[in-house]
Amino acid sequence: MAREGRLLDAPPATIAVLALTTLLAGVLLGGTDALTRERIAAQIKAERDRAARAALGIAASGKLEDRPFKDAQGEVDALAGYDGETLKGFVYTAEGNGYGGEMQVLVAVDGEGKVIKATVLTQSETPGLGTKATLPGFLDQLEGRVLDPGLEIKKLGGEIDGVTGATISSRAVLAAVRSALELDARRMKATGSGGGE
Amino acid sequence: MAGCHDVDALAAEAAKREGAGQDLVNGIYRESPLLRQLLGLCSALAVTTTLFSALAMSAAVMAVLVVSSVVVSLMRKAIPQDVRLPMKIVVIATTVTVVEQFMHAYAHEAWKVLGVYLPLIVVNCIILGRAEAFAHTHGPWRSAADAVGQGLGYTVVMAILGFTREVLGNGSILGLSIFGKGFEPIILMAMPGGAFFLMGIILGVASWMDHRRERAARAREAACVPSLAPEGEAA
Repeated sequence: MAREGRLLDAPPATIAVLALTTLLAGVLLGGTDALTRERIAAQIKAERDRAARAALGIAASGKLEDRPFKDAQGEVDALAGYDGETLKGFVYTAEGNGYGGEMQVLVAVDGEGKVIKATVLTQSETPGLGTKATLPGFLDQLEGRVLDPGLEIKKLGGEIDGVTGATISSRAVLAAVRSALELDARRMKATGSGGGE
Repeated sequence: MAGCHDVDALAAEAAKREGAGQDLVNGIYRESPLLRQLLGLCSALAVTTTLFSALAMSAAVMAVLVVSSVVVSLMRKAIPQDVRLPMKIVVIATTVTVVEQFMHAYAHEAWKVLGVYLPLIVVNCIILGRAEAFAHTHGPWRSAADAVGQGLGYTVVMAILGFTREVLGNGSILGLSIFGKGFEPIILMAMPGGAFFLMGIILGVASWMDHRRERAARAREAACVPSLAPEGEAA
């Protein structure tokens, strides 16, 4: 029953049916995308805002403001979070190369360049091993830290306890946190301010 | 005992077994995708860590099953033999993508909890299996009934798995803690190993139930034997 030969040897009917079906499928997919794109974008933003507020430690009603800035190295997206009217800090998303791929980390930094909290947004690390680097047991160590040589695992001269057996995952998270702190340093230079307006 | 092998009664019963209603009921147990056909087990074991994700997956699988079965059934006369599989896969992949997009937009929590297993429904054997084994040779109404039945059969087993794994492995039902702080969960239940064990137990119970039914049927047969005697002598 298997037919040998190239697709173009097939009867025109077969080609026509295939083409028509895939065309219809394409139209359907395009239509679905058009219908859902806005909602999906809104969901993603709501998700990010939720994570940002949690990291900053502000209420669900806390104000979040997009504060992008530009400097010699490029454009940066920073998110400012308020507790009432007081500026609590800035939120950045940064990446690190984990064991199973890229890890996205959300870092909340206060007005003085100190980490308020870090959470891992996406990762594909080994469950039970690398994923321990996403748990408070590891991430709590980052609270209050600044961008200094101590922000590395102890094995490599730093002050952070890495997850046993998950060095790469731990280092990836730390690399992302360092990137976020670097972005914050750039923000302070670009806007010439620490916390205030 | 004359009624035991009444040919007319048997024929009437057989006729009752045909049709959309029976197609639907079959999927729930007799032809259950997870218990009988043993299809789609990988994702079934992976997403049943909580009852919520089990139900989310069941809903997605049901939606894809019904839509793709009906579409394949409507197209069945127009699908050339040579490109049967690619055509069906195009239908299934499109359906899954549409379902995925809508879930992302309108059922975000469910979408998030399923992760990569949602797009993987494209290669879930249940969907393609049903398209090949049923939708391709039956009309849309019966195909829809069959799909719903398969979906229900899938949901029942998923719900059992999800419920048990969440209660034992996490001490909660749908996220609500039921045992309080002192509870030490059976971590194995939250991991793939526990899922395998649980599935094995469920399959064992189903098998045992079948054996019991078979023995009861044979006992009834044996009680009817005397009435066979007149027709037993063939030429």
